[in-house]
Amino acid sequence: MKFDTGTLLLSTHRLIWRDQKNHECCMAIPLSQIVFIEEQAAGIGKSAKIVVHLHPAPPNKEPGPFQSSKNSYIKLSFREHGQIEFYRRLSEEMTQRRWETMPVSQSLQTNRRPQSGRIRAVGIVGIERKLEEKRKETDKNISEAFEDLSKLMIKAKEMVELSKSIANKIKEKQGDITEDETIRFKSYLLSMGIANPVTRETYGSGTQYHMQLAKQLVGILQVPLEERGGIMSLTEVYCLVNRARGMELLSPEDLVNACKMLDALKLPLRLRVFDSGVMVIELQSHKEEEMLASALETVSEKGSLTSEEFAKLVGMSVLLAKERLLLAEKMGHLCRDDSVEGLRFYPNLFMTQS
Amino acid sequence: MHRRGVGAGAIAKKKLTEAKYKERGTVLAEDQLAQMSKQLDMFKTNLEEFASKHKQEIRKNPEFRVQFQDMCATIGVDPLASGKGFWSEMLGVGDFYYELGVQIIEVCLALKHRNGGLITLEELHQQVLKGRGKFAQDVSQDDLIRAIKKLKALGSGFSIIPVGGTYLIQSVPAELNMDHTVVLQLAEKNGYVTVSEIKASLKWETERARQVLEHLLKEGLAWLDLQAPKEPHYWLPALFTDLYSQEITAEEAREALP
Repeated sequence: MKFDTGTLLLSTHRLIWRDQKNHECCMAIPLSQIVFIEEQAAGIGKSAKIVVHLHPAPPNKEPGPFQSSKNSYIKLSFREHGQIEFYRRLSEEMTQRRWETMPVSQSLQTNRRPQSGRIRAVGIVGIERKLEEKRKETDKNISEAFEDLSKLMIKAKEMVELSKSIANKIKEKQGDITEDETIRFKSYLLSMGIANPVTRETYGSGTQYHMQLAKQLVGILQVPLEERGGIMSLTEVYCLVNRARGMELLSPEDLVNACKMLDALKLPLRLRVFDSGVMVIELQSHKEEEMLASALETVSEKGSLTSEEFAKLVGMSVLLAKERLLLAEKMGHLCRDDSVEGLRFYPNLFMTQS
Repeated sequence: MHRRGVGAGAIAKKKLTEAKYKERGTVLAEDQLAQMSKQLDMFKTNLEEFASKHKQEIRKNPEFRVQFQDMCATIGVDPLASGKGFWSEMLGVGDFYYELGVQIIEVCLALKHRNGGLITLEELHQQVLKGRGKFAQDVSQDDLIRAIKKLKALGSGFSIIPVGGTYLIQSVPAELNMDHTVVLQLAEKNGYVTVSEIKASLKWETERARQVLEHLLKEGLAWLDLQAPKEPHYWLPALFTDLYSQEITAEEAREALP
């Protein structure tokens, strides 16, 4: 019998496993039987596991899937995912030991009495010692990594202090720094991930990298923009660009910084920020104000429209549809009816019918 | 473009300026910049060494990632600011979080029609894991939070709202102030909230409670149940627990077993 595709459940009292296909096949083990649990990380060809070390079976144990086993542990293999969360919760239950104090409300109670202390049988002591050693060794690997990390951080901190000092001097004009050098300084900050101490922004500090990126974006976005009516939200752009790249992805700030340079570099795309804070990329040739006339026409034809309805009619995302209607309202073409049934836009008759 | 002069007179002037500064014991900005350039090269080498020994640790160990991020924050460094940063390039942390960002955006978009753009961290976690597939690296809730914090820069309304020990993730630019947030936190217990509950727990006037609830309805974050016993219930789809499988009730557990 194989037990390799199932669902694992955790209760305050038990670990329960049920076969995904054959629901009749179901087994449980009381948490009180567990001595110790440990994680095994995933590797190539191996899935992440939790190893559950058990007390020897009591004489009155219910029959299980096997008569006997040479091992005193079971391994739970997480083929898909969930190992981290499950380990965390199982550890919590093992710490809280609620089975000792809470009554079991169903008749599926085991015959084993809940224990307040741990029964140590002879074989267990040896296992626990080995586990302790192994844990110390893993700890050692982790602590070596931490030690190395701490040393690295000390050096990184020196760089941060140095950059602050340079920024101060720039401000107070202690020495002459050319524009080239300013650009160099910004790129050092970018490499280290240090916020620009002069402008106080982590974005808006355009470097060579961002200028190049801006030019690349034009190539990548020209066609998608045309396909989408000349306008896309920055979130859409982020997903599109990164999905296309596959690796060496852009950070959100990289994208924003690059887009902020579009205008300055006189590229055929521009960044626009709506009142709501929503950011979009538009083709320079796209005139949102011209779209308002047709938006008014569409709304008038239907009498009134919500953002969702308008989005569906025109073939836009709801986010951008809403922004267009809001802009039309701002310009006085539309007015709103805001009720619990939703936000609905009507042609602004106050304007057109004097 | 400002250039330091290159003629003989300019050179002499420069030497004079430098001498004056050195007298006063000050180091010039451009000297420090040269120093920074050298230190940067050294740091890059150190980081490469660190990466060759411990890159796997970061990839596989979420606890270590947390420690790493905390240490960076303490010294004033943001390892996720740019894909071009050393941290991102050499430790690979960038790609991990930026890709996660894409997955988070996609999940939120797919579920927006149902929950109005508000989702619990648990459900988001479940859905992201599902989308990543079985062979992908596991991600923790802390990883999601960090990725979301970065997404805020894109201006599409991502924010993180603490409720009852966990978080609600907002992915639309709906205006939610303190009053709205507090009511969401109250609703977290049962998945719904009523006017009386708000008045009892928060000691608000009826009008204030109604205004908040109306706003949540308008934004599509709450649904109105007029057929509930005693008084209307305002349900938050984001909090419907049967939409994610981490926790089940005792009844469901009993039904699931022979």
